[in-house]
Amino acid sequence: MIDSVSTDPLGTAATPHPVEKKEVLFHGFPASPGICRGRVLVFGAAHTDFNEIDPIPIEASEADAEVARFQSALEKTKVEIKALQKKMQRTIEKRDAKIFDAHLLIVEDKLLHKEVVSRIRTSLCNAQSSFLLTIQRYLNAISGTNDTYLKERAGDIRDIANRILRNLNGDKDGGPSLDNLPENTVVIAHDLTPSDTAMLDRKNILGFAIETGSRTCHTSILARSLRIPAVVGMRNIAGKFANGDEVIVDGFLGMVIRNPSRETLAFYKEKISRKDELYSILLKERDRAAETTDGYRVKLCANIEGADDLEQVSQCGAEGIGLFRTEYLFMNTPVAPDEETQYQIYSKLLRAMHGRSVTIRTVDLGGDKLDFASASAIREPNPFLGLRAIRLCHEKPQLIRTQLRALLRAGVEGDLRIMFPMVSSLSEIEELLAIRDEVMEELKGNNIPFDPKVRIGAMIEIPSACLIADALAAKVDFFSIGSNDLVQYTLAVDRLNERVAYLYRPSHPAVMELIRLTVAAAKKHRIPVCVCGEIAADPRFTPILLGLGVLELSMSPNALAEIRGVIRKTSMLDSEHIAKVALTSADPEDVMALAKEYIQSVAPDIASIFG
Amino acid sequence: MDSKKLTKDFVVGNPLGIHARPASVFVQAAADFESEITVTNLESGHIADGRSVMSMLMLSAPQGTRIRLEISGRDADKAMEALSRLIEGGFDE
Repeated sequence: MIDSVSTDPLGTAATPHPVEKKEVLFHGFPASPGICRGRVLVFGAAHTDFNEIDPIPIEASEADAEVARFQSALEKTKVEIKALQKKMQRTIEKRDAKIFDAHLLIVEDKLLHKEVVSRIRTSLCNAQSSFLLTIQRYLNAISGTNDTYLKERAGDIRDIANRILRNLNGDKDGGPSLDNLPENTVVIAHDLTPSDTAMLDRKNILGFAIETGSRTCHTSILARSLRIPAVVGMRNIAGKFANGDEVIVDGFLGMVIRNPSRETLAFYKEKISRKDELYSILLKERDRAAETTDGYRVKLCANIEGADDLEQVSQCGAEGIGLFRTEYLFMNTPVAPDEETQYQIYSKLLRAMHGRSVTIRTVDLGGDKLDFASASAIREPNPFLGLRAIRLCHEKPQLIRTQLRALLRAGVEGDLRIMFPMVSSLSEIEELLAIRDEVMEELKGNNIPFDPKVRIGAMIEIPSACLIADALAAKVDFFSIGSNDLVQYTLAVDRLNERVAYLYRPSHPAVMELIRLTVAAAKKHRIPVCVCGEIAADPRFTPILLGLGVLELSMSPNALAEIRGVIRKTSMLDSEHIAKVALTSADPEDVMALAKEYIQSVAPDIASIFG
Repeated sequence: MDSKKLTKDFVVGNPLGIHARPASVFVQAAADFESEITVTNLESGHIADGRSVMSMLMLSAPQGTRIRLEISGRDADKAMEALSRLIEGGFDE
C-alpha cells in the first residue's frame, strides 16, 4: 500500500473524540486484506427507490428557497459531470465522451426544470420529493414501452437522477461526494455501483465497508486492486454510522470497529506500523531482481489501464507492462478512436517505458459494449460466450485493422508486443496473422514507418486454447495466461454471481493442469509465458505458479513489492513440490492452505501483514 | 419574414431506437435552429418537444416506430434538412 506509507493512516487527522464513546464491533466478510483507521463517510444512505415517494410538504414561504436549492444542485451536478468528462478524457486521452453529453442535456433539460419548479411552487413539495416525483413520471413513461432495450435506457436517467439527488441532499448536509473525499476516509455504504467506484477519489480513501456484496462483487475486486481493506456483507449497518465517526476496518477478519477503545487502537497501531515498516523495506528493494533463493529469475510486470498509471509503474520497479487494456478507448464513444488517436496513445506509452517491454491487448469487448458498433449490439443470451474481442474481426474488420495499424506504427517507439484475447482455436490466430500481414503490406505501400518485428501473442484464457497450446505456440511469439477468465471458463462459474461464486477456485486442479499444459507447450517452442490475472498478485499463488514453470508475472503495480518480497524468499525446489500437490490434490482448499503455510514459514512478515 | 410549417414522416431506423444518445444528438442539432420543433410518435400519439432530451426520451420510440417531424418557424427549411438527415442517417450511430 503505497498510499498508507505516505498519508499515514494513523496520522493526526484521526484524533480521538473528546469524550471516549463506546467501542462497537460490526462483523461482515473479509473482502480485501489490510487494516486502516479513518473517518466514516456514509455514502448514499438513502437508498433511492423511485417507486415509493412520499411528498414532503413545505410552507409557501419556503418555495423560493427550495427552487434555489434545486437550481444549485443542478449547477453542482453540471460541474461534476464536466469534471468527470474531463477526468475520463485524461485517463484515455482524446476520447469523445458522448454519454456525458446526454447526461448534461438531461441536467439542462428545460422540461425537467419547469416541471420540478412548478411542483415545488404549486404542490408545495420540497425540492427532493418534487424532483423524485418528476423523475418517477419519466421513468414510468419509458418503462411503459415493451422494448427491453429502451427500458434499460431508463438506467441513464436513474444514474443522473441519483447524482442530482445526492447533490440535493448534500447541499443540506454539506456532505462531500465520492470524487472529492476528505483525507483518511472510510466509505460505508449500502452498495457501491461500478459508476460510483469509477469516480472514487483514490488518494483519500483508506477502506470500504458495505452492506451488500460478497468476496467476488465489484467493490471487493476494486478494493483488492487498490490494495485497500474492505469488509462486505455487513448486515443492517444503515443508520449505525454517522459521518466523521472514527473506525478501524480490519480486512483480514472482516470487522469494522466503531469508536475503537484505547487498547484496540494500540493493538492496531502496532500492527499498522509494522506493515508500513515492512512495506517501506519492500519498496527499497524495488531495483533488486525478483530471484528465488536458488537463482531462478522472475520477470515482474505491471497491468495498467491508462497513462495515469505510468507513475506507479516506475515507482514499483516493474520491468515492463504486461497488460495494457485498450477497452476504455472504445467504451461509451459514438465513434471508434481513429488510427492517429490510437497511435499517439500507444507511442506515448512506449516512449514512457524507455525500451522496457509493453504488451498491449487488442480490444476485448462484446459488441454490446461498443456503442458505435451498434449493428452488432444484439442482446446476446450469453455475452461471455458470444460475439466479442477478436471474434468481431469478421463483422467489424475495420476495428482490428485500425488498431493493428496504429500498434504496428507505434512499434518503432519501443519494445511492443501485441496480444490477442479470447483465442479459442488455431484458425483464429492464423486469420489474425494474415490480417497483420495485410496491414503491414498496406503500411509498406503507403511508405508509413512501422516495426515489422512486433511480437504477437495469444492470451490463454479459454480451456480449448490450453489444450491446443502446442499448435498455438508454433504460431505466436508469446503466451499470456488470463487466469480470471480461464478459471471462469474452466469451472463454468461467473464469479460476479454471488450464488455460485463459492465455486470460483483458481487453485482447482483442473485449472492447475491447464496452466501446466500451456507452460509445457511454451517451453517446447521456446516462447515466454506470463500470468496476468488476479492470481499473479496473490502471494499464496506465487510458489504454485513458479513451480508450474511460470517465470513472468504481471499484476497491479500496488502488489509488485510484496510479490517480489515473496519470490526472494522462495525456492524453486519447494515451489515445484507445492505445484505437484496442486496438480493432484482433490481439494482446492488444501492447496491454498499448504501454500499459505509455506509463505508463513519462509516470509512470515509478509504473510502476517498482507494476509 | 416568412414563417412556414413543414411536416415529414420517418421510420426510426437505428437498431437501438431513440435512446439517450440519439435523443441528445437530436436535441443538440435542434439547438442550432430557432424554429419550433416537435416529434410525434405516430403509434402512441405522444408528442415530444424536439429541444428537450427528456421529452424525446419519453417518445419511447424503438426501431421501426413511425414518427412525424413538424417544424415551424423562420429557418424551418434548414432545420428540416438537417434533422431529416440526422434521422435518416440513424442518428450518426
